Amino acid sequence: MEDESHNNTLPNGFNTGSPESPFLKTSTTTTQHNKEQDRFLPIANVGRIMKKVIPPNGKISKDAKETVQECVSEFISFVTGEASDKCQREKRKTINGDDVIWAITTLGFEDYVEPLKTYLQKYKEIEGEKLSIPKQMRSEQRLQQHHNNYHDQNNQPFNGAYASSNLISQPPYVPTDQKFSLTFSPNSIQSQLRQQDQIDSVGHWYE
Amino acid sequence: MDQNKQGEAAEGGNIGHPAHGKNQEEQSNPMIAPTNPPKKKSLEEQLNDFWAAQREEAKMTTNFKTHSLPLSRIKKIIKTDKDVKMISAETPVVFAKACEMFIKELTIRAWANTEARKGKILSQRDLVSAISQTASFDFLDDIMPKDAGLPRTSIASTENAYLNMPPQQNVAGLPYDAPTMAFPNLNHHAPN
Repeated sequence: MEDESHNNTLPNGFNTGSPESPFLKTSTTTTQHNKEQDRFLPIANVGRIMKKVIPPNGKISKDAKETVQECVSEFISFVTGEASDKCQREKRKTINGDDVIWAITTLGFEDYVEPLKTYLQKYKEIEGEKLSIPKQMRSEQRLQQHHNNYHDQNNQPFNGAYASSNLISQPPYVPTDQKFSLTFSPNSIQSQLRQQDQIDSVGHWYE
Repeated sequence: MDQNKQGEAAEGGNIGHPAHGKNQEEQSNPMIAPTNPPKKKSLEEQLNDFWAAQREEAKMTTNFKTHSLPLSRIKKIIKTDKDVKMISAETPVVFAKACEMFIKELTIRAWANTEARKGKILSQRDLVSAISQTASFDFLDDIMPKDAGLPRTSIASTENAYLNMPPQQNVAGLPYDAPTMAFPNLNHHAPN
């Protein structure tokens, strides 16, 4: 395919998908002629993995590491092509982990399937726990994009504001019998006391 | 004589532990009678042990934040396929694990060839031999140099042979139809 990519987004970042799509929609291809380095996994990582399965006194030539670099990129493209074809047949746009495992099975790597299924299952369990506990995660260099994706899903504030309840205040009782007041009184203090007596003793207006 | 390759394979699958304290006594002894071309365990036994270790390791994985391979680079390689539109967050994680196992399987098979020729250094031709002997690696035939019969270990001639490879794809014998093959990788040999 000779057509050049038109999804030139951030050079090193990623572009989140539309609100309808919770999955990552990324296109980091800036030009048709990418840097050669970008098309291979780092030779240091490849060499480190290779050394794990040879004797300690064994050595690996640089051309062998470079050859394995190319083989791994070919492996990724090989599996990706098969998984992508499957998604297109099923009218799906997103390649997920199960599609990758299916492609690996189809392409003759049966021994890989059981470890990968176990690995993916545990990954989903752990990521699922992260989803249910929204918190501010510290910056993870390699999984930053994934965290951003999950964080967006959990970034919904709680809208259930509790309505404030008002106290039902009853109107104060105004006694109506205070309307009657003595007009003639030799002493104001006595007058107040008599008023109280009148209030306290019902039915006795005059002593 | 039973050289302990099992510990090597089992420990090799442990992420984050590059140092090996075991197998110090393992030496390549040319005096041993070559009843089996690989003087250690047979390749079949090594691979059986390797896959058993991989299955156990996958069960014990709890940290998915650190990977032996960078996810961003894996994502770039996936996106070189123009047909790929979107990938879920888990896809590069699965690929990281698959690629690690692929590298290890390929290296184990190649090292068996190194031992068969009594070598100490795993070289490109050991990889070429391993790939030609493994059916599931047929998809790599196109990117391999065609000098498997090279009698001498000559890096210069290997480089020349690689650079002078014809770019056309040899479709004969391919078990699959791969229209979405991204890069032939023939004219982009990494500089030394």
